[in-house]
Amino acid sequence: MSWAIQVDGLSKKYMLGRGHVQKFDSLYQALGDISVAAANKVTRGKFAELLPKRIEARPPEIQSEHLVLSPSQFVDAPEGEFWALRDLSFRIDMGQRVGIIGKNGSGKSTLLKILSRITSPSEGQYRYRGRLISLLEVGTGFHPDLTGRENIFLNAKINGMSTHEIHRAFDEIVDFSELGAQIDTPIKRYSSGMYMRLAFSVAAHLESEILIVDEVLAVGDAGFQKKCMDRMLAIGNSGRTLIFVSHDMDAVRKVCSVALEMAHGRIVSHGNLLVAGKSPESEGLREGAGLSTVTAAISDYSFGSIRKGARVWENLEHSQLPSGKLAIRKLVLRTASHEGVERLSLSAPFQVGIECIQSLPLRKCEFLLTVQMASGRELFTTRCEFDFSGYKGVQVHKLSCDIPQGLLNAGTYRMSFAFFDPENNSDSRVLSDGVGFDIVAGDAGAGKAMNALIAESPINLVLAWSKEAG
Amino acid sequence: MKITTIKAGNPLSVTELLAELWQYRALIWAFSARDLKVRYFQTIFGPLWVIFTPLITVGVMTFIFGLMIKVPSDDLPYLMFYLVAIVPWYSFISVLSLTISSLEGNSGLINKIYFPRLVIGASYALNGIVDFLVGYIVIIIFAIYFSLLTAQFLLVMPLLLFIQMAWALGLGFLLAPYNAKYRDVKHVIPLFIQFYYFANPIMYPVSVAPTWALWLFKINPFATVIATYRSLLNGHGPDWMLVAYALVMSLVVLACGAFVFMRKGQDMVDVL
Repeated sequence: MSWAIQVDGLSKKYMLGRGHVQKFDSLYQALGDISVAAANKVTRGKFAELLPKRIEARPPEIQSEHLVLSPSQFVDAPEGEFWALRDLSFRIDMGQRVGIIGKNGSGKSTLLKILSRITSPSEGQYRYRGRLISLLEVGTGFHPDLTGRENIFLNAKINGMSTHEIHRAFDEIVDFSELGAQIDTPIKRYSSGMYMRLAFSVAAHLESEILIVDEVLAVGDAGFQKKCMDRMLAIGNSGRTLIFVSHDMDAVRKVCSVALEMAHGRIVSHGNLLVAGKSPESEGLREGAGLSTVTAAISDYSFGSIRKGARVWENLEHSQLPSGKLAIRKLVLRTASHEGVERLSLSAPFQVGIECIQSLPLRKCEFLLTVQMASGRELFTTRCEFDFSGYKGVQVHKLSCDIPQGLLNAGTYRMSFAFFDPENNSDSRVLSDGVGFDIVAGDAGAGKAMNALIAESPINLVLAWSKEAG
Repeated sequence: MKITTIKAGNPLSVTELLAELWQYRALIWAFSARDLKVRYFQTIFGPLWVIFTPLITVGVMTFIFGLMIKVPSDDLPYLMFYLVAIVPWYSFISVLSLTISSLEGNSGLINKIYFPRLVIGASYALNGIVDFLVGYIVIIIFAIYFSLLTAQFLLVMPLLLFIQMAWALGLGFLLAPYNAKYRDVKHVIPLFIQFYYFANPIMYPVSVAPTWALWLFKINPFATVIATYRSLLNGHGPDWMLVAYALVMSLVVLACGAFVFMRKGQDMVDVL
């Protein structure tokens, strides 16, 4: 696959302290020393203790891995400077969604600044293909005296969009921001939440092959945050290359397929969020012991208008792998007698039917099905890899997964899907809005003692219980 | 798809730079439209302030230097004599001082997003041109009133305006990186501007200068701009040799300034 970003031996040196500029600090000190020495001489040191003493500015001597700067960052660096980044080399393929994680001061932001050309590297080089837009801050260049409308145009132009492109996206931006008539109010009269909404709406609609985003997602109220995450997922799903930096592991897990961990200006580990442990170079992420599956990518979505019983995609562009090899056309819940059932009985098994269309050769595809509660909390995931080799023209495949009876207690649930090519992890699709269903106790469950006062967990396992005789 | 390569210590070539400036041309307009809109936001008189400021200054100067001190004015009415100096001066000095502080003053933007930094200065120059043209309309109205308007006065104006803006931008670009790095520059600039104000034939005509000092006016493009406006109003043709020299001089400074700005300005983000 072709690369989107290629980085070779990238390094960045920064000055420690104030650098060389303030020469006069030392001039003042010299003057102070001379006057103190002169005063000491005149008074023969009698009043030495009354004279102002200078506190020696010495760098702290304790060196430990917990410090922001590690000793390794001073190796080969000139006096008074350190390596914010040291000899980074990596490649990001087109369509990959890369999360960069790491502690404060580990070099994440410096890397982003170099990738987005704000500052230039001290050593090494990097290349990128196509247009690159970076969002290191929402609302960069917003002017308080301008109206929302004027700021949309200004902000989009600062990000390199042409007037034509902005006109095309304008209505969508306004819709997304949900600001309505307020769009013609100067933004200094906006609340900070409204300001953020406007800013992210512009950011979310910038068109580029590569998008770099630095923790700007935490904006607006819960509903808007969800919208932003959806938008990020949509950007990822549309095959654009995405680089996302955050301290928030959950956000990274939701959006990204690959993660790079940085510490002290170097990449310390990289791993696959989709199938951690499967790729040979993956050492697993220290912080992310649990970030092994796509299931995490689908959390925290509230219900919205999810279709129950069955879901059909008319436009396969929204449900296919970015490569277009495979698309889900239909999801359906069925019982022994019915198809597309919205209300399922507690006491009968049911089946999830998946209808796929294969339009290009593909060896294997792995499917993940995650069941969530209405609140968006995931309950469990089940996965299976299917063989799709032997392609002879466009083909329809019917897959199914059986859910045993009594596994889920009565309630409202939803299922989300993810599927990807195990040989090419960036070729993946997440369908967070799969299909919804209700489980009802029904008459068959009448025999069971349902005590409304006792809280039951949604999952109900049939396990071996026993009672010793005696 | 286009591949962009960024190498350490290897800034963009001139052709790459021009291509990029062309790509970002909409931004020059956007910045300049923003500044124009914002400048008169919540004012009653709005853009009329572009006219009021120089008119008030010219009125005061006419009163003090014309009526009280009686400075020679090369036979021009004092109002005209000062108007053709003050209107260019105000637009010149605003472009110059804004461009000098363009890196420092826009650090919020420069720290967060990439675009060719030259765009900022270019948008200031565009606004300076707008300011000047508004003032120029006033000049024309008074020139008609005093029956001093000639075709040449109108035709040579674009060239003089170009010289003035190239000179202002060139100086601004040259100084901007130093202003960002050494804040000392900021303390020197107002002093420099004051000296430069007196070094130009604004309050007085070139004709009162001692002959040994004439070269100082000749090497200074902005002095040529003012002197040319005045001689055009008097019905004399421009001194083409002097104008040509001023044009070359300002273009050379603009090219040098842009070069220095590109080389040094890129890394200024680390010290801002």
